Amino acid sequence: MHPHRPALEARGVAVRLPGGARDAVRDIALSVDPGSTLALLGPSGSGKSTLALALAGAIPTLVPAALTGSIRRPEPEDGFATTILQDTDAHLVALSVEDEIAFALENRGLAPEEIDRRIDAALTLPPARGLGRRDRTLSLSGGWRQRLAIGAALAEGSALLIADEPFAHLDPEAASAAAEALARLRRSSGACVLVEHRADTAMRLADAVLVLGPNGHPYAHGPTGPTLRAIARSKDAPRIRLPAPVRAGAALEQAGLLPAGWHGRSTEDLISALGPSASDPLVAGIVVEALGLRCRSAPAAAGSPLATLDNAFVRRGGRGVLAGIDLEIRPGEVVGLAGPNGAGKTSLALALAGALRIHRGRAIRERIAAPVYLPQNPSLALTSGTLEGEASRRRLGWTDAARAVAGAGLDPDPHRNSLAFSHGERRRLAMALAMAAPGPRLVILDEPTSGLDEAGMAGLAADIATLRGRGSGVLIVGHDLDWLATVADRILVLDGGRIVAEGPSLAILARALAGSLPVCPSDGSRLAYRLGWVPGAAGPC
Amino acid sequence: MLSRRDPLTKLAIAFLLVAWTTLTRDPARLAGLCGLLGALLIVVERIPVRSLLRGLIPFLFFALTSSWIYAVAPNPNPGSGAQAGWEASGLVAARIVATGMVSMAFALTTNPSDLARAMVHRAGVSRRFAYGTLAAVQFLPALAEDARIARLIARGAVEPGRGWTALRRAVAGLSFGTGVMLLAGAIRRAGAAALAMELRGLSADRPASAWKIPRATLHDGVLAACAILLVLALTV
Repeated sequence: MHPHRPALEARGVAVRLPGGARDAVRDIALSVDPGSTLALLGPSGSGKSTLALALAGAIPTLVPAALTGSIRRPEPEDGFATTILQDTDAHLVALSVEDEIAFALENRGLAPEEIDRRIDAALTLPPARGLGRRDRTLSLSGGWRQRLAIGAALAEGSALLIADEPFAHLDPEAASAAAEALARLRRSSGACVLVEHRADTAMRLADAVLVLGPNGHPYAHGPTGPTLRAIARSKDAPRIRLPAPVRAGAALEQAGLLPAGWHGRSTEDLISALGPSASDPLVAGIVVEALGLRCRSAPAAAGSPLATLDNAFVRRGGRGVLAGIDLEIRPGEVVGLAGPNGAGKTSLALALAGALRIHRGRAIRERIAAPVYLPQNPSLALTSGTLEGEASRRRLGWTDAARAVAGAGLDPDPHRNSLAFSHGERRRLAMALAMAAPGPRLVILDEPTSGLDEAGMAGLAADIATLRGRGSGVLIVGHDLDWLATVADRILVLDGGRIVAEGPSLAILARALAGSLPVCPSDGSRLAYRLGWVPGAAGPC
Repeated sequence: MLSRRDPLTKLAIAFLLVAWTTLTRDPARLAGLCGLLGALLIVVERIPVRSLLRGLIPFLFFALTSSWIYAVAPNPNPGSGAQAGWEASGLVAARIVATGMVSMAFALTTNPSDLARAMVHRAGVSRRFAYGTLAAVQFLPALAEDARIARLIARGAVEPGRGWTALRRAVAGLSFGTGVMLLAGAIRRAGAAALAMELRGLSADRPASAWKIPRATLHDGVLAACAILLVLALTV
């Protein structure tokens, strides 16, 4: 690699997808130097994944789309470019961990001894540490599959890594480990392009950001700190999930508690800039408010349970995944389910919904509450072809269904095929149709925030509040403990297939912040905690 | 024992045994082969009986649904009586089950990745075909899981009730739409997998490494000789 030549350079790039009336992205100009990281940010549907595919060279050679402008990637003698796709399930091709890591290395023509060395190295470092060479990829949880994909990509030692939402299904601890692994890539002069909604993690790495607007045009491009500061203070900026310190910094600056022009991006930056006033309760109060860490008081749930798991044991693929689970969900109660990758969260959700057989123990569901399960893949909830068919299957009148669809910001055309919507739109559609069903229900949401932008997160929180008001019982599987604590009445923490902690959301968040639980809170609550906030205690909130 | 042997040698033996099952006309000898392979898998290879039976289900179903035709079809040779029809039916069923047993013996003792590598490097099969097939093997459990979740969601959309409603709820999700959704999902996933493989250098200009390629050894030669002796013994 030439030391002064960018690892990736794009000039005047525009991409138009087949059948598209307008360019999905346009006027893109960027340059990524060796050893640096560029974060691609933008709201859902702004064309981030399309741009990533174009930068990786998949458009137009592998994906039939029209590309204009020029893109220069590393030459093979400079060490290739590696891509991690958004869909991890499709990304993995081999049946065992070692075969998966070896796949690209074999394709690159590396010597067998070197392939073995790199496999060993990948499995001793985060994020793939903990996996065994012969572990079957099919038996891994979604999070561990993502960790393997990142580990395999890093083992390639490429000059350029393009990763599309590599942290989407990772718990915060695993995301930090993955970020650390990507930082190692930087230290070895590798360049990185990150597409990510989880700005907290991505921003720790990014030297520069490119923010796309909803129409696929660049909205802002520049060094990370100043660019994010400008976004945080702009009224018309795209609604993206900014890092907690940036949001907190904007609020503190507005309150006159932080010097004007501060453009740090980490908790340490912020605390250092605050100086002695970091211990002022007013500062903590403003930060808690800015980050939306609103205290949820947990009312005692009333009524007989909509669903119960009684000492439930579940086996999948010949091994136990849940052991002795006791859980009740009552009308009007929102329960969060957190835990590290591979803890058994999705298995518990499926068992509660009735999709997995209880091996021992029992599951009881009230007849009134036919469970509504919204999986990680929203397409599975849309099987009736047209929107009209989806409404009919749910026994909804078209008028009610159309109102719900329009309320989700989608075109309520009764003859439109539901699979013709984008991934994010399908998620919103499935949720809107679930919301349109009257009466109390048992609603199970599996990682509903994955891939959502700021507006989508706010809409989801409002939907959950509506379900609570109707007397529905809601179980939310998620990794973002801060967000769970703001929407759920209580949180269960699962580890190794067992419930290891259970309690009111704020108490669980407080225990997690104190480091006594196997879940890691998000950057927002950790920042507020550093400033003296204790969830549930009297004070700022 | 079998699981450590060279995949291509085992494949050749499997072809030989399948050819023998299609040529032999004695159901008892076919049953003998099934018994021998079953014992080998259960006792020596420690394959759970349940796994073996689960793998044989499609073959048993095929044997059951196709062999009876020979028993009830009009007999072109009236002098041979109904007995001949039932014998033909039994022979066809035995052949199908024996073929299934040979297939299971191969599948349950062979690592698909080793097979793919051996096919690519020693049999000249294209990498794109071999690894594409390997990726497809991954999709099958995921597709079954998707189907189960889609059915659960469809059932959840129908309020519980009695009579007609209960029937509607029971069959919810077994629809054309579910099939189309699963097919669309499978096509999309296959496309994404193909894209991922290409982006990970499947079509790189330089030759691929020869990593962990299974090689035939003396033990494999002994295994092949034993298989030939077995076929001769069963034939004579």
